[in-house]
Amino acid sequence: MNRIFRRQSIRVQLTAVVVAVSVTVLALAFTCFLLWDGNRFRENLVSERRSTAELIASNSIAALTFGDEKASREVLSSLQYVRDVQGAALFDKEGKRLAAFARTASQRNALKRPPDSNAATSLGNDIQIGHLIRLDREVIGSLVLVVNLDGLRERQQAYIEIAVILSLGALLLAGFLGSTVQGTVTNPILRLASMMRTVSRNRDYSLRMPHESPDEVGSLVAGFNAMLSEIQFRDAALQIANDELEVRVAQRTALLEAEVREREDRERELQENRRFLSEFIETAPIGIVRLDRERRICAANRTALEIYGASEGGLIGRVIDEFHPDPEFRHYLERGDGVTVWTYEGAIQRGDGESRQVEMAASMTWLDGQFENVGLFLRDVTIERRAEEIERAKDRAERASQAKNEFLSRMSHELRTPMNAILGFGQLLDMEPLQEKQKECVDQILKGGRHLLNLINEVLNISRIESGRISISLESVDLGTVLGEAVDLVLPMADQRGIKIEIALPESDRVWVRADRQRLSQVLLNLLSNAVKYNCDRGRIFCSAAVQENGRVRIEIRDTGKGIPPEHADRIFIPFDRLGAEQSSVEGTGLGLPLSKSLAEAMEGQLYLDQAQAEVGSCFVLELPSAPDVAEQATPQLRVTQAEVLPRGVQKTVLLIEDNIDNVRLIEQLFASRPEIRLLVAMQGNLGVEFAREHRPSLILLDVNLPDTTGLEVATRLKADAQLARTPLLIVTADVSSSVRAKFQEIGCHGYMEKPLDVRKFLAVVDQLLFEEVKLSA
Amino acid sequence: MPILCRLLTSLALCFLSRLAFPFQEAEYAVKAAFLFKITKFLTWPDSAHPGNSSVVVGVMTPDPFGGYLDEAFAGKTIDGRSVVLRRLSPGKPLTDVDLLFVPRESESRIEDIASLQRRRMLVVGESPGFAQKKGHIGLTISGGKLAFEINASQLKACGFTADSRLLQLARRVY
Repeated sequence: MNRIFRRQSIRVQLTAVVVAVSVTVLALAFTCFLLWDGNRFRENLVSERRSTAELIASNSIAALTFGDEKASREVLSSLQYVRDVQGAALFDKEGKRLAAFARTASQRNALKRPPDSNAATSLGNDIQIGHLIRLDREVIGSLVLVVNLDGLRERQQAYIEIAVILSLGALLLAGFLGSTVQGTVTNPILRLASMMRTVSRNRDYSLRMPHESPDEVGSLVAGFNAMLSEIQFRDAALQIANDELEVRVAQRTALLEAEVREREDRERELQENRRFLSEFIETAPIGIVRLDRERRICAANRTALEIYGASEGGLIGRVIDEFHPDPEFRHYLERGDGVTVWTYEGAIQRGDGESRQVEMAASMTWLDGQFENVGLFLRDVTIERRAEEIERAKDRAERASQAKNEFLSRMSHELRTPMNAILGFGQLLDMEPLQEKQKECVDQILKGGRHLLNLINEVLNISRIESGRISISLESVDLGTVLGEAVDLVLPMADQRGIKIEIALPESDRVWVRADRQRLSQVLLNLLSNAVKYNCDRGRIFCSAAVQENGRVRIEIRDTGKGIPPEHADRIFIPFDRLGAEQSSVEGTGLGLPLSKSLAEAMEGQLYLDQAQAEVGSCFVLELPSAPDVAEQATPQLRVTQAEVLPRGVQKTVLLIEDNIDNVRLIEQLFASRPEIRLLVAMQGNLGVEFAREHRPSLILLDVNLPDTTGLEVATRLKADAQLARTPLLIVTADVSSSVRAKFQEIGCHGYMEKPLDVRKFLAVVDQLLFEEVKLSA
Repeated sequence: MPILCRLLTSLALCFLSRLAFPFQEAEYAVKAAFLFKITKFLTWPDSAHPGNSSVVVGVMTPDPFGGYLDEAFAGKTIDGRSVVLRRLSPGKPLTDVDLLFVPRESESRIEDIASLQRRRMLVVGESPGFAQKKGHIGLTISGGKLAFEINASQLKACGFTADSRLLQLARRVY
């Protein structure tokens, strides 16, 4: 409604307002008048009819008093001439209706109840007026009058007709005023509006409105004209500015195009660089990982994926801590305070459960105590670290081995030195003419001493093998020769018990095996002596050898003894396990077989028990690789030859450098039977060197372990001395380790004697060296 | 036997009188009320009941009202004066009586209307033609209802003022 109204012209709007105001005011005024008049009419009517009631009541007092209905009716019937009275009724004191008057039957029926008071009550269109009738202040009855308001209705109808006529008049007048009087106000505005429409349609800002009046409309027109002038002026200025701008735009466009081209080139270059860089990162041999603020991995290159053992999907978005259980790593990530670069090495727990060792460098940027960006550069050092670890373990093992070796060397010396005295003096004693009983005692001492010495040697050997420090020099060895020598050695023992040894070699002349001659001899001797020891009296031993198809030589040594029960077969190669033989009278250390087995293996061979081959007793099999047929080489070791008697009268000085007084006495005793030998003793190494320079001995006997310096040191100094370099130097020591021996051989020592000394052998060697020296000097 | 007959007769009479009595009672209750009501429509002459004396209502014996008259006037006043009822046996003087009711049986004790003029006494009777011959107001029964006749000229002569509405209700006015 409001919108429709606003769309109308001002003229229509004004007219409508005037008409609406007039009609509203008229309607309001008329309504008020009607209400007021109606109220007044009512009041008047009630007042009048109350008087009527008063009159009727007064006239009916007597009739009421005497209950005269007829008289009462007569009194009421006078009301029929009052138009608005529709009905009336008289009631006596008890409320009984005495008489009634009504214009209709229904009205009569309605008048049945006496009034309670002198009140006027409205009943729809009617008003009921009650009146109590008194005589001498005593209520003797009552009267009811029913008055209708038809008069009021007629009157109001007349008023409304008048009001309608008046309203129409007012409307006409308002319309007239709207069309005539307001024209003077609205016309200029309408013209202005039309002018505005023209201007805005044609864009012609040169139009002007003529001035008309000095009132508000006039100033509006003036303002409009001023605005048009301003717009016209600005239009012109804008046109000029536009033209200028176009020129500048053209210039700038050209510049921009050039710049755009340049920028595109740079962009391409940049993209190329970026591509190169990302490829570079992706293919870098170090793992590169970027973390976000929540330590989640947001980028990782190929190597990083490999290191973490995850696919790209399995790695991106995961918190780095999951892979690094090490709290130190978290500590690194958590400490801020400007630490921007740090390195770290630790283990990572990969998704596949594998653990990797990584070396890591991190570069972090920090902002407000929290890192903004973290780049981790990882290198998988698992293999390196493992190699290092192995290297270290090896070093340790070597050091330990060396220490063990040294320990063994020292122990062997320490144990063998007293053995030297025991066996040495025992042998000396044995050479003396003794009573039968004394001879037996000496034999027992020597037997016990030799057994102990053997035990010590085997313990040392087995330890050495275990530590891998045994020196094996493999060569082609004639098996027949070695076997023969070994059989020769056990033959006396076998003969004592009536045991026969049979050797069965292939018909071809010789069987060559690849072995260390000495060690092979040791093994064969061990096996043969076992075969003798554990055989029955007058038993037999079979030795056979055959070249097998696989090129290996099989050597069997079989006896006819008790044999080894199958349940013990796996225990025979365990050190010190003698399978109960320790209870028997058979001597043994329990080390022979383990040692032999180790030696066989060291020579790339095998030693095992082959029970299937033995019907009685046991059968040991030694397998060795076969070797080409070669002429037997000269053995490097010192060979004991027949001692030659020194020419008489030639005095020889022998210098002994030895700190152990027992050994000194032993050698003094040995040389006591050789008056041509003058023994010079130095109990210290340095003193020994001095003695040698001073006395120029023909032979120097040197102990290895000395109180002030080492035997090696002494030997080196002696050999370094030009005058003493050719003097024979015999090392006499309890240290039997081959490494020590090799060192002395390097320096150029002439011989090596193990303590405890084999007296005969020792004397023979001494004689040989002295003899040679004599020969040389002669 | 004669005793039995008399007994039966008296019983029957007793019943008869019982039957008639209610009507007579209702009639005299209405008449007693009328006597009181009529005083409201009449004004006594100024010379009547001097001072502040009571209004004396007299009934000639035998009194036909029984207790009804006492009931009708009990606690009532006339013109602000208290009411005194008086039973008048024959020979008793009628002095000081303001309202006199003359029963049918005692009509003979009243002389004539002219003699009433000096008395200032309203005389009401019930015998036929009483208002015309002897007193001011005569009560009649017509159609089962009580009606009355007024001797207006006599009232006026005696100095009474009657309400015009009373006169309208009267069956006859002389």
